[in-house]
Amino acid sequence: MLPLPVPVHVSIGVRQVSGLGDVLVDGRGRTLYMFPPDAGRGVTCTGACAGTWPPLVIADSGSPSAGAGVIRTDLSTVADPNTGARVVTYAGYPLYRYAGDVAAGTAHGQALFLDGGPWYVLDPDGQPVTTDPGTRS
Amino acid sequence: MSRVSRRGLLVGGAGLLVGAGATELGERLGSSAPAAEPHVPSPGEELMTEHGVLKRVLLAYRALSARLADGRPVPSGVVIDAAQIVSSFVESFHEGLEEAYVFPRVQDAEPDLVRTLLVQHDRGRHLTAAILAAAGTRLRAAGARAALRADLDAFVRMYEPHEAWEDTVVYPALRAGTPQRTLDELAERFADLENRQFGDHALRQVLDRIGGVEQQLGIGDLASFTPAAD
Repeated sequence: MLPLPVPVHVSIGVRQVSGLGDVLVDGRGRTLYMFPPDAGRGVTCTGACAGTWPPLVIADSGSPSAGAGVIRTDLSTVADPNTGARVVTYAGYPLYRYAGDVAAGTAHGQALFLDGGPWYVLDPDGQPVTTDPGTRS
Repeated sequence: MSRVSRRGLLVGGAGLLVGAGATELGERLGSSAPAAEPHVPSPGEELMTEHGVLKRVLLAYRALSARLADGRPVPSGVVIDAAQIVSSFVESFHEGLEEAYVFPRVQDAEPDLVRTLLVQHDRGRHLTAAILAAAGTRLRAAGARAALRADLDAFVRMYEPHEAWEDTVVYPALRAGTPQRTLDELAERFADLENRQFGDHALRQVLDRIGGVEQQLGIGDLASFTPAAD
């Protein structure tokens, strides 16, 4: 199992990120991402992938809370094969953070193709934002 | 059988070393000295073996950069092969292991270093994306060649100290701060994840791939790096 803490309380909010607009963030303001290969299959990012893209986990007994701008009925959870707990979903998409976002307000993982697919932030309507900010070399 | 690849190579290598040591020991103590058991590769050993793959890619990047600087042709397929090894084996796997299992265990001891390493992983992934994108274009225009060379050089410049710090500070900190039983479990986990992600003989396959890149760049002979005797 991954050495991830499994909190009981998880909140989802909205924050503006430069070049991407309003995107979903966790309770510490860290940008959240979706992974297209998860569609219809649940959490597919496991093992080493889940180190780079830690799933937004929550304890079985917990339920995610919606901050301003978040559609509460779009929040749910799905089984997490990494921890045995649950992963928060939004509009059906399992949510992940990116290890390269070491501070709130960044989205360095946006449109990055890694671990077998691209990674996208979600807008408050639950739509993936596919804008590619370009390589930052 | 799932652990032939990395484990077989590492244990095989360790066995040679143990064998040589045992011979010397036997000569000193007599032939009754018991044969040593090959040790199980630790997480640090496994990660440093992966760093060896990265070091060989860095040598390839240096050779590519020199070709770009000299105005020689650069085969885009070689650039793509090398960058895809980085993307699939180093960035998607090796760094994921570090981010999942290593950095969280040394975070308290080395918070600033871990933060820098995470930032560098991210910068490396974006450099790799840029290198792959450049390799997909015609590499004849001076601007495109200069941009690719700058990205290759930046990648090498960042990752040489990056992996040196991991080898000398992070992995020793992991070993020092983690119970032996947990280290053993991590070693098993790393081998299992590698085989699930890449199949059997993963390390041998990636070494073959980098060997092919080296051959095409004329740096496949280790002896060619030996300076001439006076």
